[in-house]
Amino acid sequence: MSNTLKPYLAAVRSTLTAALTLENFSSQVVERHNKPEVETGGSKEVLLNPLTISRNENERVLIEPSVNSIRLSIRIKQSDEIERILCHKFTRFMMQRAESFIVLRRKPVPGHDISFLITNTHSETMLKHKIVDFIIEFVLFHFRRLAANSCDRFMEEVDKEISAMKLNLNWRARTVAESYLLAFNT
Amino acid sequence: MDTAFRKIDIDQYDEDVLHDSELYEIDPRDPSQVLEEAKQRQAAVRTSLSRNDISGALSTILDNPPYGPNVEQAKDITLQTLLTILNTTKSTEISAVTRSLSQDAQDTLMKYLYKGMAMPGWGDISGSVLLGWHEKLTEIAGTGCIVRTMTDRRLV
Repeated sequence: MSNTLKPYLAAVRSTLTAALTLENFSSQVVERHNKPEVETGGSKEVLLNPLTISRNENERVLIEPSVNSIRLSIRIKQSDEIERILCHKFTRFMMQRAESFIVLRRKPVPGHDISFLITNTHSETMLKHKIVDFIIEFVLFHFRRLAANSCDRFMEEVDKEISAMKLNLNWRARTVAESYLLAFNT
Repeated sequence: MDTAFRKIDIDQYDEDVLHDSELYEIDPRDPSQVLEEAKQRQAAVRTSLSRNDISGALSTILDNPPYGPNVEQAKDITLQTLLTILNTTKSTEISAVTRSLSQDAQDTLMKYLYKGMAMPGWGDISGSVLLGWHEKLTEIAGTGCIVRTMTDRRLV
């Protein structure tokens, strides 16, 4: 299953490069306003067809392009309860600091775990291939290690980061419970 | 009743409003005719596959695909047939086969690949097969193929 990672990332990279052809487009509804059309969802003519790239049912990337902005939402594989919690905390940590990430969206699109909004101003001020690299390397690779365990090698090659987090979590829970219950041992 | 006037979407009654049907050319064929064609193509593809003629099968299925509303069953049949072709092609043959397709056929194939990836649990869709084809097709047809998938309103 992990041998689909490279084509998955390649597909996301090529689709993102194709979608990042953005240009300035003022709002057709309100004069003198300039809004990201994918967010306002106004007229049908400025919105393009949304594309999905999926590796399996639990991991997908949804790209919604439009004339002046694109929205990219990622759904990460979370196999058990603890991974769900860890993923939620991790994404929340990043989304609360969305200002410094510039392209991050504060709320994920429903059905996904994290979302990006890239507008024409971003693609004008920043290098497009660098934006693509950022999204692929930082998020996907990092999340791949976080949510990591590829199904066929779950038992053999448990990812160190997530297993360490889990062990740490369990150890802390045990210590806290122990010292708490000691107080009742009279 | 008087207080509800603010909730009416006044823009829909404007004479200049853009309808979905104006965005692309409607398929002139009748839905039942489209369904017939899809079934015939399915049979033709089966014979091509039994003779191991992959590129012939692909060109048959990608030519004049059903698109637009009202033809859901034809679209499903076409997608299913295409998936059988994709699954039976060996990975070494993919490049040669895609190179032999016309540009329109390559665009249609890309549209079907994305459609397949949007429904990961449907039928016998295999994520790895679709991703492998996507990689080879992008290599050959370029990013322009993806841009055309995004902008073409004739959703297959």
